[in-house]
Amino acid sequence: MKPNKLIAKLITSCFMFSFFLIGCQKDADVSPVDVSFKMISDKTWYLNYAKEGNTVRTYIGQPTYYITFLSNNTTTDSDGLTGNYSLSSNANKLKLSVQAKTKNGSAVTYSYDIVSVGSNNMVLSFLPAGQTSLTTLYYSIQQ
Amino acid sequence: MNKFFKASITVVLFLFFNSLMAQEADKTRSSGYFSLFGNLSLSKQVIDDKGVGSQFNYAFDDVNSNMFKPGYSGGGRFDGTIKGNNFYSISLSANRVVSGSKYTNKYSLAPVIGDFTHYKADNKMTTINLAAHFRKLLPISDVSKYKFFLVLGPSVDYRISALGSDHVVYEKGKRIMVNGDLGLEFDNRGYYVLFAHYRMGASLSKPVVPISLTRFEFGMSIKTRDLF
Repeated sequence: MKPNKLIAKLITSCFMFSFFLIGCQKDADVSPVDVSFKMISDKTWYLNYAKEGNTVRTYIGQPTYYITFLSNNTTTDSDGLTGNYSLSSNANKLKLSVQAKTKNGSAVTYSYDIVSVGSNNMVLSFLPAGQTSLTTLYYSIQQ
Repeated sequence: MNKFFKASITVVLFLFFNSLMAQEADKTRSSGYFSLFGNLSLSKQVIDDKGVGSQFNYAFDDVNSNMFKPGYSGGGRFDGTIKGNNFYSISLSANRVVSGSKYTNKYSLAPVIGDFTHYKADNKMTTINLAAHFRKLLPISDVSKYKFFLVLGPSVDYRISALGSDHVVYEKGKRIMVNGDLGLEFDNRGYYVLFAHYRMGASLSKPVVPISLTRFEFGMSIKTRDLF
């Protein structure tokens, strides 16, 4: 076989080999919870705005509440709460639940609906006890 | 798919191509011929969510790039004729598609989140493409030496690379894309063929978020009997 023809065959086989070894992959089983977890974990989220009814409070440029979510499902926040968090999905709605303890050991449990979540911004809402209008919390990873 | 199976497919395909090439080299009279080709491509996808929302936000400026991006392809094709003067080609190729992404809709959540999209489509993928093209010989110059063809026909892309998690969460298993192809080809005395193809494709199954993929391909094919 002539050298140039051998080279042509080698190039062809290498090309095909690389495509099939590197290229063939099946779809991972990914749920909205998985995507949300990837977006919020290992970050500290700062509360930028809080909207209660029609009233919007801004915390930009001042000391504000923050909460850290780690990829091992633990969480700490600026109020001194430490504990675990979880994400769940029900009827296409995402929910963030936190089971934590205060510094003096009292258990605190709360959950928020996720309005929108991304790698840099997160919007949560909840209905405070005794209230009729939602409170919406706007977080970002920048203070 | 495990690595042994992938390697088996590769070996089978390699032997298949080699046998085709050997047959081609042995032929003294043929109504067609096999070629190998390679091309560079420029691709852009348009993502129109039709106003369907999700709970995810992706910064618009991070994911939107209204431009064509370069990829490449390689494969084999058979060129033949039907009843003497109706030219056609059938090709099988592997494609590395890298595309720009144009999102038609953007949203905002005042006061904190600026422009964003609800979806993020993959802009890198590897596909296997099967194309069948009718080639119309154009009466330009001396057709016994230089042939210009207008090319028209369908093709199908099957995505073999994994979908990204942001994409697969809504579009799992939707791997087949159907294209309409249009192009020009120049055959230089049978030595090689230069081609420029325009390819417009869309997902075969009904997607949650319709994506159309536009590609321009510029490449060259050379007969296998001249190569091997």
